[in-house]
Amino acid sequence: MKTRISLLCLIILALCIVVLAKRSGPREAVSLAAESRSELPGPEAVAVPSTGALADMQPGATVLTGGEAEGMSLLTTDAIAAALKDLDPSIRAAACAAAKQSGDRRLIHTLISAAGDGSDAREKAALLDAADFLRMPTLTETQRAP
Amino acid sequence: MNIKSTLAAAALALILTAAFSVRAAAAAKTNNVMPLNFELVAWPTTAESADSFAIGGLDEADPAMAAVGSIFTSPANTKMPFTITSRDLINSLAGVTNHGLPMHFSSAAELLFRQVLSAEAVIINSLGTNRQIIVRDISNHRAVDTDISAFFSESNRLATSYSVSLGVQTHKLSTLSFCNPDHLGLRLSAVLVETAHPAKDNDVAIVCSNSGDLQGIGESTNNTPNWIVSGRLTTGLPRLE
Repeated sequence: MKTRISLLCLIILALCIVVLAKRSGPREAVSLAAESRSELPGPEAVAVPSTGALADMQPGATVLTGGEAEGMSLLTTDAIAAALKDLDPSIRAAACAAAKQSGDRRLIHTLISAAGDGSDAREKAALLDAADFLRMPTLTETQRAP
Repeated sequence: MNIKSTLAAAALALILTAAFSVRAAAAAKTNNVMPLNFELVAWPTTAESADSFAIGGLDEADPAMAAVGSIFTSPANTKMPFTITSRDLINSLAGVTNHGLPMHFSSAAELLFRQVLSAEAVIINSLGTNRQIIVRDISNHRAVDTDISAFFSESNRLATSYSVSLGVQTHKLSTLSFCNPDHLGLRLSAVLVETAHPAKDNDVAIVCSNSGDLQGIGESTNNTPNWIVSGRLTTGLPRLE
């Protein structure tokens, strides 16, 4: 009986160590909320250049695998629109910047609406500026036009 | 009893090995990567004024500053201003040769700043030491990085650093250029503010942010008038990989 209990304890202890080791790895997922905070990378590790298989890739390209591909910070229009209504001002500011980068004109109405809801004059100006930014044609559109 | 103890010890050793493997793998992926966001607005000049702003006719040492002297009014200019973002810079590289082959990126591609955290000079280019600008795209469910640093250059005329609570903040009076000879050229002056967080285990400072207001001139190669360009450069959350 005592052996079984000690065996169980050992396994639980080992599982705890595994979980802790996994948690101390690099941050991979980037969320809008995380972007808005001044989170710093852990400086504990030694760097190496990314290398990988070059087959069927861009010239001079390197390939990342696994979690690194998941780390791409692609945000959907819905996610940006929701973040524009977040209670945290820093998240709203990050969403405003993300809206500009997205180039998605469906966000113009949301930006104007958020500007109407807010009370901070600077935030209002930033939201309306973002709406104006999205209204303008992009360089890509200008070059495609006949 | 002995068998059970042996089995327990073996299981423990196996799990501990797995744990340390995970930790070692994590330590091997430690470049510093940040999204690089350009938010620019370009105002086309009139055809008559284009010569005044021709990039080739400006002072090469400080083209954006030289343009300041050529003030003019353009009441007949009906061309709309347009935006230039990181997405447009990526799009402008479509079909451009890099290392001898044409590049093509998907709509999911991202513009990133990458810092190689090595005390040795692993990479030296026009952006400095161990610094790159890359495009990260998805291909076959994998992230693929393409180094496009050759299309950018940064020259710092003056820089000064101060200690801040996060680490070291450096103000740089810079000229930042993007030169894609096939489609697009930008020459922008800026005061860039770079914040670096000192590392504990080695001497490499990790860049946490790099931002600044940009002003200058731009041109495309399809015989359209040049543009006055103004906007901002910001970086997203840094992450180690």
